[in-house]
Amino acid sequence: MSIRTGVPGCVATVLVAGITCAASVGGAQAAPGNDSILLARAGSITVGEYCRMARDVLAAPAVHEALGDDQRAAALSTGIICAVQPSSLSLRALRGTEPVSLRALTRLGTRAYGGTSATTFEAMDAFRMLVRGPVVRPIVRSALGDSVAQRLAVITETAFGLLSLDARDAALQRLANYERKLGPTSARLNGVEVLANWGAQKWIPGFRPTPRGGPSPWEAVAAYVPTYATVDSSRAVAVSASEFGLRRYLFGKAFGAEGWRGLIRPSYWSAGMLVVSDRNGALVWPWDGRTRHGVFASWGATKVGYVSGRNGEWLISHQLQTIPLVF
Amino acid sequence: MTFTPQSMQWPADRAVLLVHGIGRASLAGDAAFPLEAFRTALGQEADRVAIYTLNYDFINDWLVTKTALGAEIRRLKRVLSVREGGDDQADVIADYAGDVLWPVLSADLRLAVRSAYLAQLIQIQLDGAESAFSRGQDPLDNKLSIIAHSLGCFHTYEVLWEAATEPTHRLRPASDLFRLASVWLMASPVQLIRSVAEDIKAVIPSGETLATLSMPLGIPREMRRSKPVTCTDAFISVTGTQDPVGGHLLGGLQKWAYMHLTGQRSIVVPQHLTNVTDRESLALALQAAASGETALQLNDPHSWSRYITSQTATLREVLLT
Repeated sequence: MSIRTGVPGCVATVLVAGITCAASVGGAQAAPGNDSILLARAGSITVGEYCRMARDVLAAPAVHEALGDDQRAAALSTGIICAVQPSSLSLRALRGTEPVSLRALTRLGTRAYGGTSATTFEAMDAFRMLVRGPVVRPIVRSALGDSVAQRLAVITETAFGLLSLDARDAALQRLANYERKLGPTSARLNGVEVLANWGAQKWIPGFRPTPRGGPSPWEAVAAYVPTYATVDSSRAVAVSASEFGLRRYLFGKAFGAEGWRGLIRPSYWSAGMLVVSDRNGALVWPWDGRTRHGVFASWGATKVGYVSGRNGEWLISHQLQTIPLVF
Repeated sequence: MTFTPQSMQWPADRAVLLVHGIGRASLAGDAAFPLEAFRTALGQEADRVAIYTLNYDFINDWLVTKTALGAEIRRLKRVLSVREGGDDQADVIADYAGDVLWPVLSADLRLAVRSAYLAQLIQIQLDGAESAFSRGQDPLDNKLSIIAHSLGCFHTYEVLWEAATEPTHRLRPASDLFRLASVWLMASPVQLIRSVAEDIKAVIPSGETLATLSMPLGIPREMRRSKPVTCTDAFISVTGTQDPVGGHLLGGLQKWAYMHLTGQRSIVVPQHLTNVTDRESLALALQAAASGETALQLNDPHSWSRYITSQTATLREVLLT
């Protein structure tokens, strides 16, 4: 089971609670099944074995001839694979899905380990394409025999399987991010916000989802909120406000909690400006009378605002939508 | 709901992925898939085929809840109906078009479905490899087919283009040797979506990420050394003469709605909206009606199970040989 973590996503904003920065740690939901078998096998196959197999295959005259224009590319890929030191490194260790032994570390070549890994796996991928394609594969089998061909299949497909695991986990991570932004712990949008975000996605690059990058963490906020509360003359009163700002979703496993945990590790934060009427009360039009301005910030559904005018007022609220599409 | 790709051991070297269409798969579960009809079609051989199902309705549910846009989609259907003529036929087409346009108008939704679909395809490939090794076989001898219905055809079309052209998914037909034994699109709305989406192009976000809209329609393929390598040699379109989603209405083919890709194998199933197909059965139906019995049965031209049943021989020929 492969879980890739460590996607840094530092967010910085002024939040009432004084929380200014939170690390977003990515975490895909790995599927159950055959991962452990693949990883165990990848731990038992060394880069040296891959190198020897590649050389043996290319040394067969029939294979060499069948490769045609691809001979140079196959030789180049083999050269990259065989350059990895130490050759006793397993495919799994090379991919970084298991710790490398101290002994292997001390024998690592002069090249940076990370760079070697990516380059080597791309070379393995290219080698697989060339010798396992529909034209060359049957020739490998007839030239080298069934057992060598099957061992070649095991080695090349194991290396390719590690790349596939990464691709699958990347897709699952993207989906998890979409769930964070659209799913049950996300903020509901009113009609104006639906339109605003549609426009933002259409015309502002930072708001667009991308096929490889997943959803944008940003969302426009433009809401009428009749559920703020403040203390006026020692009694709690309702305040209606309009909010204009931005919401940022917190991607990664550490966030998106539900229930009381969501207070600490919510799905999003938001910040922006407030427009409030001089007249407090629920369902008051914010531009009624003398308009006051202020700021708001939220950590998840918990919101705090401050508006100027009179003596200044602190407001609190909870993110909720009482009438779908309206507010 | 957290999505986990289905994972299983293949009983032999064949697998099929069923992708549902317009419907409520999130509520109906397995019932949203024509598993019984499919197993019946394959007969005893069904036990030798790994059957995967892809359910993406939960993603639709996210967006419906977040935006409360159900009413807006109903309004869109009414607008489309008027645009296409405003008569009964246009109503029927607009009703289906409204459902299938939903993912076109939301880039988040369609790209989320795409991610789930890609993850499932990769998982199937990983399962297939392990299953092949456990039998001492080569994973490249595995045969994976996709059978999609209705809106599932649109997502399949989009995903196969993305898979064929994007290296990071490791699903390209030439470079990654990911070739499908067959792709079946049953009642595909791909052409219908393209036609309607062109009319509303101005309001579609991230249109460049839509293969249906951003380039001429064609079988998904990767170019290697200037030569196209398609995702499959058997790209099969099945629709019915009465199925509006598949580009037919009252027996007539609607060019603007019927998907016809160069190289596809086209099957058009003759359909009747009722069980009355000739004078004799009409007489029987009238007699039954006069005696107070109901003999008239309405057939659903869009039924996935019926498509599967109608293609038993071809399915067996393509999937099992």
